Amino acid sequence: MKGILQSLRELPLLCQGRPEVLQRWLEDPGASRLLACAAAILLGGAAYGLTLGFWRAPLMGGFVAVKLPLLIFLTLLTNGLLNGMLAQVLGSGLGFRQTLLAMLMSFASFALITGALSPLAFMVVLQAPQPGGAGAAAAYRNILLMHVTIIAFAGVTAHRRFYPVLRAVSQQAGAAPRVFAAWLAGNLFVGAQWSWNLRPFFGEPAKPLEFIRPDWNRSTFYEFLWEKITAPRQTQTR
Amino acid sequence: MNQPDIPAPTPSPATCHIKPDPMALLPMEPGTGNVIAALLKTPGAILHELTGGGRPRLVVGSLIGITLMGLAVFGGITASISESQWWHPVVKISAGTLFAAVICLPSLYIFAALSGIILPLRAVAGLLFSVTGLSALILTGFTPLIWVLGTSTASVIVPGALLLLVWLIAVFFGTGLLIRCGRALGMTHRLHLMLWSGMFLLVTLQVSCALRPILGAGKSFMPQEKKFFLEHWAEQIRFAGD
Repeated sequence: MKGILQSLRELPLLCQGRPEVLQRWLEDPGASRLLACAAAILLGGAAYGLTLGFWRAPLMGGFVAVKLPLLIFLTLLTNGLLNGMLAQVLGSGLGFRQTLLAMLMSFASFALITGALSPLAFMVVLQAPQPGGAGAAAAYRNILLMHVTIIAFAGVTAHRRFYPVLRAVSQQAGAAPRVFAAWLAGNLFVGAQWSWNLRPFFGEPAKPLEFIRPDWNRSTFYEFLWEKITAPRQTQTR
Repeated sequence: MNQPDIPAPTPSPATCHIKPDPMALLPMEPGTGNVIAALLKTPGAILHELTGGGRPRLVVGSLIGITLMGLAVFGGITASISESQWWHPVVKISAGTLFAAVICLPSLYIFAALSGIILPLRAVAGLLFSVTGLSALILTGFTPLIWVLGTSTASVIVPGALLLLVWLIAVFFGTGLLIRCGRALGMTHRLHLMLWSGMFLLVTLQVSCALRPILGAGKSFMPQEKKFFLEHWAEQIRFAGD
């Protein structure tokens, strides 16, 4: 218990991203550090998730508070084995447990940043016109843009803080960029699919309020993307 | 507000010590778990056992076991998203890859010699099953992703393309290990092992076509018509387009 509290107190170190300090986390991937990162993802993700869905309806906020941490954990679960193998094959020298902690650390800093910004975003949502009211269409676009900006900022910052740590612990010169690129590509690929399966997150006002769409498993995100890309071309050729 | 105690930075073991060379020919402890760890982290230990260690047969046996185990897991996941009977993909993928490896063994022996590496056939077999073993491990790592995408679509083309992509990635890592091993064993020409890697990939792709259908439903266990794999893929894409 004492170890978990100590690890929780050390969580802001993730945002500092000092390699000489965080390197020690990866060299000693104890259960307390894993749990502390998981707690940060759960709480930070839930807080931001609530904000993300709240404009559509308070119930939607509750749904997304559950779904956002779930999305992160499902992405980790899907890629955990592969990321561990890639870290070893590509020469970082990190084992499976260390890779899991590295992933959790990266997502935890993302969750800390988004969680910390959620009160501000929540205030904006409370001040915005309600769905169906006057100015709702503009509010929808503005809030969506705000969330995209926050998520992009948190994602880029978390990765920029984490990369020097990976470079410091890697056994082979040149392993860090390879491992980092492989993890990033895998997490983006899987994360996009899980977020597609777990949609809606923001919730279009015209569509019904639901936890997940009934057609969640009818097509993949990539099929949808392909259809969107090819549809205008088919129209032109006709 | 309490600030967390930031420990004073001290040099870590990772930066103090000489970083270990994964291809160093060092002895390893016996056991399948250690062979898996060596395949992923320190392939030099496997090379040591194959070329100068006391248990080359045991290591080759472990590598074959890892290959079959990994392919069975990959086949099982493929079966879970396939329209055929559950055991068809498991048997076809495991036996097909093993068959492809066996028919590629003589050419690897000769191409290794052309690359400037002289090894006994048993050690070359060990190298070959290191390639298939690492590829099978990487395939196992991809199984959750395959399951997620396979169960999220009604199409056969999407999981088919994904399986092909994953197969290419796994063989890329496996044959990359072969090149690294060649370098550690004093390879003088890389070209021949790269050519062999390309041939091995083509053989596995043709075997997958010869054992079709792996993902879709078929009238029989084996196909009635002989085809080149590119022709088969082109037909499948045309069929999906219609």
